[in-house]
Amino acid sequence: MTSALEIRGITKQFGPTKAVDSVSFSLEPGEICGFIGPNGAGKTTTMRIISTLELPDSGDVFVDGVSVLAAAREVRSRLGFMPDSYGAYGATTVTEYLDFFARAHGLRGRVRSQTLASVMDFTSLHPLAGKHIDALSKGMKQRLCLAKTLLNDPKLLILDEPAAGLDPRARVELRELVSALGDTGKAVLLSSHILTELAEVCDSVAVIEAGRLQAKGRVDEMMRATRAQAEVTCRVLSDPAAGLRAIAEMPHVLGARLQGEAIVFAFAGSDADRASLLAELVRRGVQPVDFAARVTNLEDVFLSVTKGTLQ
Amino acid sequence: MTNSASIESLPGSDAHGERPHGIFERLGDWLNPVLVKEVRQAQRGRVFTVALVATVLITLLSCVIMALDLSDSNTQPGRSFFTVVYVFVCGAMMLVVPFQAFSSMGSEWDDHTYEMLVLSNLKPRQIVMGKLLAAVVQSALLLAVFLPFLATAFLLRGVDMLVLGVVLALTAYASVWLSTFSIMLSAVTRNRLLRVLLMVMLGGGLASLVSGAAALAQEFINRPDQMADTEFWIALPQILVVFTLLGVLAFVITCNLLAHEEENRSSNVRILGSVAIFALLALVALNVGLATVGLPREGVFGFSVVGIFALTAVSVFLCSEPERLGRRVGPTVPRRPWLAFLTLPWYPGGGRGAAYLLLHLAVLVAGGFAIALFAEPPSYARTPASSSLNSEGGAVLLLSAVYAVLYTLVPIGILAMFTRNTSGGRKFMRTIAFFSPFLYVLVPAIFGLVVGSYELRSTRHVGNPVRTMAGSVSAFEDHRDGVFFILLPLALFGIVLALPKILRAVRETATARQAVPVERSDR
Repeated sequence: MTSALEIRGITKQFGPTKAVDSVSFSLEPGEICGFIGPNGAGKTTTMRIISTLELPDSGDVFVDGVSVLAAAREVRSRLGFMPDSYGAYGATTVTEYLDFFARAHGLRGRVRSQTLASVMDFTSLHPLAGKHIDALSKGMKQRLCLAKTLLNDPKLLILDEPAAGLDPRARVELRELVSALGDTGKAVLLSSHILTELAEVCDSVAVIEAGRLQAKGRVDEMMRATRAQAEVTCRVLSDPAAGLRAIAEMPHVLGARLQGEAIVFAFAGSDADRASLLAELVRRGVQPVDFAARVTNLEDVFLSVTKGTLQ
Repeated sequence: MTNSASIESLPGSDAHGERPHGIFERLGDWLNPVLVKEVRQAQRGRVFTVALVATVLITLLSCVIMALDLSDSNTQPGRSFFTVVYVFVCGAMMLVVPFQAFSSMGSEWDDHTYEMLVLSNLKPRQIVMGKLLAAVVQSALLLAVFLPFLATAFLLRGVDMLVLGVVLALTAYASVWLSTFSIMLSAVTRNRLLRVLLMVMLGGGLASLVSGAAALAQEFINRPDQMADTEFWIALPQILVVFTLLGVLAFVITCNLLAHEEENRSSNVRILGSVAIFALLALVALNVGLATVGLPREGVFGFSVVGIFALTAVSVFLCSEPERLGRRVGPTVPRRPWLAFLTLPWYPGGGRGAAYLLLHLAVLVAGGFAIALFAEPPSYARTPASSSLNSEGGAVLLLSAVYAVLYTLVPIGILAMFTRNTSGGRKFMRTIAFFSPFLYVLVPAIFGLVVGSYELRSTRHVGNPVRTMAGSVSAFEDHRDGVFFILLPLALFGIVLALPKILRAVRETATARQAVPVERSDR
């Protein structure tokens, strides 16, 4: 099966700055991928290259098997791009706005009206059909822009910071829409700074820093890999200093230290190793009261993968 | 594109929108989407409606005042009535409509909607055409609103039907032409401040055009016999051909300004330029033919000179384009060596621009001479007028070509040595090249002030093309030394400066021809 997106070693330089440096990864149909990285890491440039708005200096991108370099127009008909800042026409209603873009995509007659109806249903915009765009809230404008990107039935959706500036309810609703899109077989590349939300909606993440791809993989696998160096906090009933000595002698334990009454250490072993450690402590009479490994989240993955490099 | 099947698979999809499509809706489907949007926006927007209502009210009021002021001795009140109404027609069609077109294009940048248009798969050509068609609709609407007033002017006597029709048709043409030009002007820069500056300049220019057009219309209304003259009907179509070519050029340039910088934004202008040059040569041939049968000679080589100077203006851009072909354009170079070499001047790039300019100057000059030779009357029918016509034409053509090189290849060739091949560097080059005609005139004049030379000070030198050409052989002879010892060596210097660029362009084209084509699909 053809990948919905395949990036092959793209590089883009603006003056002396390499905005994107030999980035390669792919997305399968139905895959929702979070694209994360610090500000200026090259996320937006990569997304603009995929969307044919920029041309890579080297390398190529294939959207549903079609090259952005050789067939930009074909690519545009297969993708939907929602930029971080997009415009809306004044003196236009929601329906007129969508109708215009449907016409621009070459939809005619009944096909156009059916497509408009489907997309408005999907994004719950029907109640606002006759409303002027200027009067919409930020969340509703985001929905409208998402509806616009769906008009050509794209195989790939590129959403650049879609949740920026939305209130919690609108964010939850947007998350649900994105999940539903993944269920319909569309691949989604989604950038956001709200990593907790990405973890909930994404199947995979790609981490980029200083223009280079640092990691790409399934969210659960990357979390497991990060958890291999989990931070564990242990409080003991007996003397903490004795407990610290006992823990420091154990295998897979790194940098054990006292933090108030608690013993904090990094643990590089598996879940089974951690269970063995706990059993050994009990056997030695250390008497643990609390023993907790901090739950790894996407932020840990992000922090462990990136180095905070600025460019 | 039929996407309905998959879209229906979206959650929440149902059968909404199932409604019968009438013939008008089906026809509407084929309309330019930008036109539909613009008309809808104008319908809801206040600017057009307010301007329309206000203009009609003011026109009505002015007509009433004029009617009250009419004396009994005025036997042709229609003329006065038309003059008043036409000022408003002209203002609405030649000022409001182009201004609206300018704002419409500008709002795409200001509202960040342009990239959405590009991603919606609309071609730049469709976008510009949509904006232009919206201007046409507005013009038609305005004309329809003013028709009752104009009909009244006709019924009041004194206005010739033919004159009225021609004036209105030309006004409508001017409205569309000016709208094309305004859209191009608005597409030149995305910088809001610069656009405001351009808007002010456009406003000033349009206002003076309106007053000029109103005065001209009044002249035709008062002296309708002018339109009965054969010369008018010979000149008008030719002027329209030239302006239409310029309008199409403005349209194509706008499309290129809107296209992605990696797209081929040059070949269409070059092809159109070639077509325009052959059209101008055809006009020259026509005028030579007309001049030999006794019709006025003014237009004979005028079109060639106009062609050369239009080519010069366009070549300033072509010669200062980035040199490389780009990743999208390179693979389109023909793979047959002879075809690649023949089409080289029509591909983008500064060096190829210089080749294009030199080739077309040669075509214009050679074409001009060929026409002159062909039109030479047989010896028994030769008169002093006919032979001077050909020798004048030849001199003027040659000199125009020399000036074209001076204004393009010399400044760009010199500046290329000191500026970097960046967007800013190219803008700087273009600006200086556009000012170079003034520099060629002013620098010797300032020198003349310093050394006390009356000839130089009063711009009677070869840097001043008007002085040198002046449409007569005698003027050329006055500056013979300057032409041979200053202009020609300078022009040759410009060509020498351009040669390395042209050679590099040939090498790059040859390399691009051999490159492996980019795969369109990974399937």
